[in-house]
Amino acid sequence: MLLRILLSIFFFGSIFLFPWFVTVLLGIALLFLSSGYEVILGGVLLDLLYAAPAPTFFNTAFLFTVVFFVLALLAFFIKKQLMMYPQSR
Amino acid sequence: MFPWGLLLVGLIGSAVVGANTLSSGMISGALLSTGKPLWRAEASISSSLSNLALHFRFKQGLINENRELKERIEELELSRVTSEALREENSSLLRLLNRTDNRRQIVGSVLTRPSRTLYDTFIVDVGLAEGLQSGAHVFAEGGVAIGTIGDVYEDTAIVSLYSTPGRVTDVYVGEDAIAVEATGRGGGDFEIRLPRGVEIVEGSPIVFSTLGGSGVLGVVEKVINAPADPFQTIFFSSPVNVQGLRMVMIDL
Repeated sequence: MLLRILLSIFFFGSIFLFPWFVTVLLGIALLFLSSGYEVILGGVLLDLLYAAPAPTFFNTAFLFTVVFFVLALLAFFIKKQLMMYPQSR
Repeated sequence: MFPWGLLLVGLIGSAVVGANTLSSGMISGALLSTGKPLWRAEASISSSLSNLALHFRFKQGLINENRELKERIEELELSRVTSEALREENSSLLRLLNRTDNRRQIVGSVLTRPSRTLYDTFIVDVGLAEGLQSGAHVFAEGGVAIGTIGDVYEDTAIVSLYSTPGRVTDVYVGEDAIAVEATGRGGGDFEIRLPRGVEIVEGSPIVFSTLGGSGVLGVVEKVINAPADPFQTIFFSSPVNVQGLRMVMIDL
């Protein structure tokens, strides 16, 4: 639980202070300790803070929300297959 | 069982981002104002740390570096004099054509680096209060064009770089000032496709606009000619390191 709280603080802090790939790595790490809700919120925060429509991203401002949502879904299904995670998580 | 909770949070998050876009960044403005003191503190701490690191350097290394820097200053001073003469000549030519350069600009301090996000944007500490408008051109030192203002908030604004992946910018290239479209590749890098017959030399400048003194957009880094391809690909980069920018000039 303590690790989850610490990682969450680092994750949200990294949105303001570190390059995007650090945030993504911390988000992936956090996905294995939490249900993934805070990671999606982090994606929303990233998009709200820095987004500008870019042609490569289909001129939308949802990139990190979508990426973190997909990662959270993937983590959910992966964790279901792993014995070390209880089904309730 | 499907994670309906995650889906709900994802949908609510997307709705918030969508509502923010439709309301011209109402939530973003509030968030950026919250982050401003944090970014200021970060800049101050990193500056103090880099000053601290200076205390642990060897004397001989500093002497050598000092000598090299003095030589470099002399070179740059020569280049500055030439550039000043050219600028004056350019101004007088513009006056002859009744195209006086009477732009008003404001200095903005850079709060975040473009590396903080994949969108290739950064945040400046000036906004609506200073009369900033969306779409205004942003320049680095020396008149190097780097981007335009995206969303503007009360005391902050988002700068979208010309090098944003996929963004297309009209530029002039080569001695004949051929008008072409440059496509952004992110981080201050661009790409141009031109027929192979056009001769482009590595190191030549890519100009953002020939009249009006808008400045240089980049310098040709590499020209790739594949035998099977009738086109050549020109890669060029901004002469300024967009990751290290501290101040920018913004058109009003």
